[in-house]
Amino acid sequence: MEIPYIVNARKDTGLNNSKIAIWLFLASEVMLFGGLFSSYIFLRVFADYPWPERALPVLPGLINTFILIASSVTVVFAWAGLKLRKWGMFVGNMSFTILCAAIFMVFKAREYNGKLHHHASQTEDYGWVEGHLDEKHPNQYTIEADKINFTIESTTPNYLNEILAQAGKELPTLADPYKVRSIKGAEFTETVLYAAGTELSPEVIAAANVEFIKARTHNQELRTQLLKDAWKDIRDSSQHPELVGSKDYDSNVKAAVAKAHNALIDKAESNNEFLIANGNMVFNTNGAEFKLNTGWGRMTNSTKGESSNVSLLDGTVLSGTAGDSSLVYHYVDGLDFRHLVMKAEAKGLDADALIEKSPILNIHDHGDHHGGAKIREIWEAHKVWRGFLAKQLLTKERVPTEVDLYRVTWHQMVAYDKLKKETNAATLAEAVTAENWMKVKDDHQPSMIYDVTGITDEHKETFPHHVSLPRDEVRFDSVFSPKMNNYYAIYFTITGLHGLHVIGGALVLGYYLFFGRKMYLSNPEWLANRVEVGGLFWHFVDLVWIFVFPIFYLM
Amino acid sequence: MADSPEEIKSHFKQYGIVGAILFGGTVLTVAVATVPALDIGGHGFDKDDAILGMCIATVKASLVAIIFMHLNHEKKAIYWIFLGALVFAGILIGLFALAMYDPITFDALLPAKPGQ
Repeated sequence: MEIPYIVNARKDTGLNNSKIAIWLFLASEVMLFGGLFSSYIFLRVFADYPWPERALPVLPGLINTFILIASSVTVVFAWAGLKLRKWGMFVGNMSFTILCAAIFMVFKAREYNGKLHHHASQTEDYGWVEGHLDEKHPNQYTIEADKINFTIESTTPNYLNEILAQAGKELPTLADPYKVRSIKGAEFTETVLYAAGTELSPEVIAAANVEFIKARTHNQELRTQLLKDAWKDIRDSSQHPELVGSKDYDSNVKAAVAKAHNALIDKAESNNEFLIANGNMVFNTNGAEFKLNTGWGRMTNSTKGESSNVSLLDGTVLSGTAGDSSLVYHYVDGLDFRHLVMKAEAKGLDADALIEKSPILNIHDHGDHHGGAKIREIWEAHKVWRGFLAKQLLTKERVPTEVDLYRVTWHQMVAYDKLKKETNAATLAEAVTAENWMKVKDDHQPSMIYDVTGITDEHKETFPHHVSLPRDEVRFDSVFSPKMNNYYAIYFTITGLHGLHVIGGALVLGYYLFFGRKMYLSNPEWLANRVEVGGLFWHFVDLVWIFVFPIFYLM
Repeated sequence: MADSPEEIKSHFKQYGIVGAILFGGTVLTVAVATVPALDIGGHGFDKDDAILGMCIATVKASLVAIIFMHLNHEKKAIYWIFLGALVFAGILIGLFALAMYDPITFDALLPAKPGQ
């Protein structure tokens, strides 16, 4: 079948059908992204936490903007090449366009990777510490468990296998016998499926679960039958003349049915007609230590040495004594007290006094003398620096921003360290003077190029290392994923959707490049129209990025 | 839109100039956001910076739409489709204004003020 008007224009619209179709599609895209940008505005205007301004590396975003602009120019030239019947011009420009798309995605992937491996913890006082966790101390709850209670119906093999692996040779043993009942006519027999002391295994859980589901099904069917019997009894006018003429929904009928049903259930129970339906199995673990991924559940009390439970998402509960569940950072590369300040000001409290008491600045009190002390030293230097900044801004009738006052970036940590080495000062705070403070945001600020190449080991040496944050001081922790806050949720939604558009556009344009030769030889105008349509989509992708870049990277 | 080879060739220079303006506009946006001397309004990011940044982005996006997407010489049907989309997108973006002017929930949505 020949598709009409793919090369020549329709008389009524003056356009070929492909062009109308792509514009209708782009119209829906305008509304889609319009809605998402509307969400962004809403989330930002009504955010009840400090919005992460300039939280993304500017240089990679800038390079990606250049890349998309360049590809927008070359895709037009690729189309022009076809219109001029210059195959070489088309191939050259289209190849460059697709190369740009690939480079764009590489930068995007690097940016996502950086965010998804960067960790942040919020302490109970709303202070934030950012950095990279120590691989030797994964983010996990430690509990010396006495008992493990499995909800056998929902026990996840993944969690069970991890518990078995950590239990080692001394496997947990069943606390009480797991009994089952079978019924034949009016007789029943009760047997012990698993005796107390039986070792934990996936097979034990699975077999018990089969019996549990069988018993639960039997009991539910019996209860339903008894309910039917209760209704039959109540509807018998000779037995209950007082209810004659009553509707089923009348309260006196409902009450009578419920009473009759309960009586029948009691009778069935006394006759042992129900099966034993035990959905839980409790195992003794004799204080064995378990380390469980924090994403698997939650711990009720993480204070070391105190009684605690770890409840996993599948219903498994480990009960015992909390072990050392500290969150150990390999290095810390950011401090942020803006949220603390926002909360303190809302309550009319002295924010600066609260910051001084923050567990982040007092980590050394918990026995961490190296990294914790360095954090305190950095903060003291930052206070000196922001003092000089405020003085200078005052001469221009300006004031420091919340970011200037209460956030310390890795760039500043590097700069403070450079000043210390330069001045041979005893501490970072003493190194920041009226003469050199401006270097912190100027000469000594690491170049933006490191946002592309990554932080060097030399930079990392200036960060606080081996910082151990007590778990009971941590209110929330996460990598910089959509879980972190609404900013990252909308960032990943919009840039992820845009990235999918880049991939989709590159695939379509790549198809024309690699498989378009035959069409070019038979009907070059058709291919030109196709490339024009693909090009229109590509320009739209560029157009969206023109707004994404300043909104997410600069504001 | 341009169809004859001569017309197409005559636009080459225009495409190049628009590309250069887009590059320049991007550099300007980054410069006003990162160079303290070019910081308009108060110190650091504020409303003035946001308006300037969005104005530059709008000019850039308009150039892409008008020149690269050939909206400067399109048929009427395309204008109607595009205009319809812009109106709906505008409504979507404007919807959040309802929250701004809702007297019942407006105060509840805003972050708490000191003393509250």
